[in-house]
Amino acid sequence: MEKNQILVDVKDLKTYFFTDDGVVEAVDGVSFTIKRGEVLGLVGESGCGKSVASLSIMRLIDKPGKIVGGEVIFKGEDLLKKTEEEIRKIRGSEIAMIFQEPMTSLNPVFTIGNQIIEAILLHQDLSEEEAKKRTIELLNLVGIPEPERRFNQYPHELSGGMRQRAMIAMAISCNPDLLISDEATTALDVTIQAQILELMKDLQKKIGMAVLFITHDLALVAEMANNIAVTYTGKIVEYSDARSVFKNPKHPYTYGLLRSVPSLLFEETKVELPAIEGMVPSPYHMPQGCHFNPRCPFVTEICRKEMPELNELEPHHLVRCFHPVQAAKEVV
Amino acid sequence: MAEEIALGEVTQTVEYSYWRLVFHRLLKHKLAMVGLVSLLIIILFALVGPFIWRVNPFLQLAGGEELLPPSVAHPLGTDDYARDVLARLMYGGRISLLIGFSAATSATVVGAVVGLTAGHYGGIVDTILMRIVDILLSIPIFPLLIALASVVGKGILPLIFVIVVFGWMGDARLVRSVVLSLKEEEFSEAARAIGCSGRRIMFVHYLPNVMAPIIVSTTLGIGSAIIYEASISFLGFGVQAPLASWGNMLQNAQNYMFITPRMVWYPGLAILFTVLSFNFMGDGLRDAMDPKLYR
Repeated sequence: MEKNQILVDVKDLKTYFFTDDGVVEAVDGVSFTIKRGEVLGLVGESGCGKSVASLSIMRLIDKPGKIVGGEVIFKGEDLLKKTEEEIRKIRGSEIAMIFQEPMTSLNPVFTIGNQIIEAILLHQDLSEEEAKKRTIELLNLVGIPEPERRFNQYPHELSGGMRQRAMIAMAISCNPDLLISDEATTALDVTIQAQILELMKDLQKKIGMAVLFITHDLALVAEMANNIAVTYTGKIVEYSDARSVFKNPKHPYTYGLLRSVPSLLFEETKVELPAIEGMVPSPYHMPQGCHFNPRCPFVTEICRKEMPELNELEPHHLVRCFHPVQAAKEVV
Repeated sequence: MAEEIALGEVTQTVEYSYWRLVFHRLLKHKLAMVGLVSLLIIILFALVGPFIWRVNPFLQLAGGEELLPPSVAHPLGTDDYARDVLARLMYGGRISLLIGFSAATSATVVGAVVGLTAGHYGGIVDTILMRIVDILLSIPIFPLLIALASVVGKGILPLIFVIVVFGWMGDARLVRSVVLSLKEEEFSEAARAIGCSGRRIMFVHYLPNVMAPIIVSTTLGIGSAIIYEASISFLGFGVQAPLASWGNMLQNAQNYMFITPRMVWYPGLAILFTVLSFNFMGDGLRDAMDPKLYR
């Protein structure tokens, strides 16, 4: 397996929700690639389509949502063209997912062990005995103490952090090529968050899987990701390697986000924390032109009329803006 | 290392499985225990009773022994065909309980499958199934029970069939509503994300989650099924003589209500206590299985 081989190539993915109040373009022409063993951070505010994009890759979009266009090339094949049967074989075995709420993402009536065994037996040809052995190994691997005892416990007997570890054990049980982590650490407190992140990084190196890391927390992506895609209202506005995005943000939105991260510096100088003006526009009333124009400090006439394209301003640094931020000063 | 072990021992707590917890709570529920004990007595009376009181319930004694008052030979007297009432009450209990159990469980199975299907698939499937439920619920049940009983015939099996046909809708609605809320839980999305099929999610992931309300509803359903049996038999379309059931004993008794009122009392009280016990049990189970009290 080549390290630089492209694993997932999402091209112009469009997922719309057809509600009674109108069409919501939750994901509108999103493209990104993830190479084997690479971590891509998908960053954005709530409701900007991060989760919908990840669910679209897994083809887990329910009515009234629908994937209306684009391609998801995974290992050279378009997942959107596969039958339900074929995609089910891929879910859990080649692409696995961890969810935001460890409290509710485990079935309350089954023991931890049984749920992991189920995931294993669905995709691997093992005996119950072997699956149980593997499950205890996995629980050990994700750092759950006394795995033999935990195996027989119900989800409510475990803490949030332990449950998320169990979810991770379930997700990696079939050695997936791609792990989608949808705000997997958001519901946990900071110390547990750090432990889970450490665990994910560790496992990612050990197993060599690629990770699509979805979060709204900039500090987390900085920690985890090789590449970062910043999304706003269902579109990618800036896409580059982590270093460029943090050191040299080009889109006013990214720039604003990074400036609004509190730092001890502001505490000393008593400067008010800069925030991005205004609110995310309602999905039913998107502004004309660039969707960020009502909040943008650099807005001009053209921004109110046309939607800018995602242009490659610098090598491997794509930005969707007519007036990219010039100042190359460090903001964090 | 030694410290760690000590710590582990301190944090070690006794772990109960859900069902053991439910059982413990049930034991503490007074009304449920009253129901359970009287149910056990009634079931023993019907099942074991005939082995102790070895009198043929169909045997008609010699002429002149009709409608005898209670005596040592016939503790509850005899009926209008000079048959021993105690023996008939035992055999009638077997049939009434049998119909109650089998009709209520079959109705629950039908209701659970319909509810799971409607809740899980939603859309047009849900609409069609739930409209069928609405239609069945808006039909006045007794005229139809009688009409149906006259079509499918008289006897135990047709009676169970009729009770099931009109008894599953409540369970279907109940299960559907639970499934609709389960669908919103993240674990069902997680189940899909590990590659479970729709049917697997329905029966492996949802069904165990609806077990608690299903069990409560079945328990309460047995009571009402016994009442249905009694009512239909009372109207003459259910269990047919010479076979005894509490319902047709009651029907038989109405002709002699003013001569020997005790013939009404025996089957009537038997039905009353049985249904009451099932209802007490059902209430107790509902309290014991309440997930809000769980943990």
